[in-house]
Amino acid sequence: MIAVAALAAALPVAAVLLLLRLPARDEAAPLSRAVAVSLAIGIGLGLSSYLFLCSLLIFDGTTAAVVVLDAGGLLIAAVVWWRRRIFPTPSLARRSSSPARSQPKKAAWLRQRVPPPWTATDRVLAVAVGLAAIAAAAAFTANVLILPHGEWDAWAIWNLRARALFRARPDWSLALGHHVLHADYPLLLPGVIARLWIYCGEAVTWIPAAVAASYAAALTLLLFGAVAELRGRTAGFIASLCLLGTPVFLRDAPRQYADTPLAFYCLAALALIAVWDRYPERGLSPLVWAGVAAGFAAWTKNEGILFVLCLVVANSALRLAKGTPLAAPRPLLLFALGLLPAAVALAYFKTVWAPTNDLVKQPLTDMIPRAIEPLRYAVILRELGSDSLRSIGLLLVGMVVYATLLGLTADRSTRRVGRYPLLTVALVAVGYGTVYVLMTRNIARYMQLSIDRLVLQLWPSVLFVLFLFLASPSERGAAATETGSPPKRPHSTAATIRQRR
Amino acid sequence: MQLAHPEAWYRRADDVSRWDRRFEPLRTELRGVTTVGYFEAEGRDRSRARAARIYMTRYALAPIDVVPGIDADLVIAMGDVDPARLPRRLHVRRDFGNGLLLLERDRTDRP
Repeated sequence: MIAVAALAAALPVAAVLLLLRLPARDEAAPLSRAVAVSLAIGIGLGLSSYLFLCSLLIFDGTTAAVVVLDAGGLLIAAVVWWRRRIFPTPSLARRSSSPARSQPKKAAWLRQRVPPPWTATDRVLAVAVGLAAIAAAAAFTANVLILPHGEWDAWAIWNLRARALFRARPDWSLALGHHVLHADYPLLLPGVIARLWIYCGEAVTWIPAAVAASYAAALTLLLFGAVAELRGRTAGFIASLCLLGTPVFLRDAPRQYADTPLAFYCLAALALIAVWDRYPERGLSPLVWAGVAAGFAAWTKNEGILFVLCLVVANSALRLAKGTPLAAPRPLLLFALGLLPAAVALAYFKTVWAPTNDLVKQPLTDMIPRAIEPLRYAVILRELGSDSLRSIGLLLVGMVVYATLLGLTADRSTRRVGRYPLLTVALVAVGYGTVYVLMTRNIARYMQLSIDRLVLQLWPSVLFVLFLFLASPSERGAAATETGSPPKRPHSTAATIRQRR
Repeated sequence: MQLAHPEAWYRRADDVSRWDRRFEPLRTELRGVTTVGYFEAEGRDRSRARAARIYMTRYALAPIDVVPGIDADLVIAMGDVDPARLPRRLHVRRDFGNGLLLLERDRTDRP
């Protein structure tokens, strides 16, 4: 049964990996191996949920239909991969820019792409990450053995929905007209689990736990890969070490909630946009994948819909700030293309099956007095502060020390790239705060039940943004080597203020 | 052996697993049923534990829609329910023991 489940999970993951690792039209691979593998796991699982929904809608979710759709997806990906291998064509980037301009830029980029040799620090950090990963896996296994069905929201929402979808076939609509907590939540996670149960032939308990472990591992690998891609390997190791040392991450993964998958898709979208922004010579494919990841974020949880809205608002705000609101629409269109399949599924689910959202159905006469009550804002800040200490713990102190020692990066292009994810994360946080203000009378109780999960949804993206803006240890070492003097902070906060004066 | 049957090599003692095992015969009894009522004897404990029980029941019986109240033709009764003092026009269809009963609406009372 384990082999069957592994094969079932491998089909969509392999399809996405083939598409992500298409033979390059240029000399360089499009994405690093760590980023590609982590994206293949997360986006592959999301794709499997999407194909499962298609099998429900078209064929009532019969086992044969599920298998045929999965195999079809892999076949299409293999044909695209094979075609690219046999018939390489000029890249979009090469066609869209003049050769005289693009060649020197590409040569510079290719020089950057040659991975630097491993330093002693890298080796030490790699061992530390390995040990932290083993400890995290052991904690995960122990928790799953104690609570194999996960915690409250797992068996009251996600695994319950998955069981209902799996057992109700062919009358799967019974599963959606159910009295379930938050029945308006989308179906990515229940779809992933139910599809694997179909392959296994029964609703075995370890499948949701295995899915939770896959997302947690993919999230850690993605953070490492994305930071390493933009800020170097050393920074990537430190970022993933920070995530593996975050108490809320270690607590949430074995709970089998949807917050770790949502955190994965948010980080994937932001990281892919940042990679495209930093290395436009690679072409526009990261933007399509960013759209896919953002779509899956919305298809995971309602907070993902807020995330997509914030992506759009942040993009519009930055374009307006630059005075070019309508320039270069093509990247936006490609992002929208990636977003489209999940958006269609979400629109269908929300209009046909989902009841009205708890926030939306509240009368304005209830919400306005809440919005103008100052005490509620104070409660939000207090709860956020106390929960941040609980959720992130001593790591916060370590991060402050790290930021103080290393300061801001001197790399302006990376800081420019970081503005968009920074603004998006800030907008999402403001959005969460607004929901808390408007949502319920007993705000403290409501926050105590949910704030740690919201912190987790954004925390990997916050780490990503932080490591974009902070100087990396290798950057600091290089600065020290150039001057021959003891290492200075490349761009400390105090130095920045002095320069501005 | 353990790798081939990971479900079987230890018996889970958590609340949800025990609830699942307890409701397995009821789920078999309810095969083909789409909606069932849910009724608990008054005054057992706090509301959060009560909410947990109904959600665990929904989880154990999925995809059957478990609706609080006694309006459905079949009703799950939990706790110290005295069969002699059941709500009007409901009778015990099967007693699963340990405070779990399946009640059925009298045929004369059905629409």
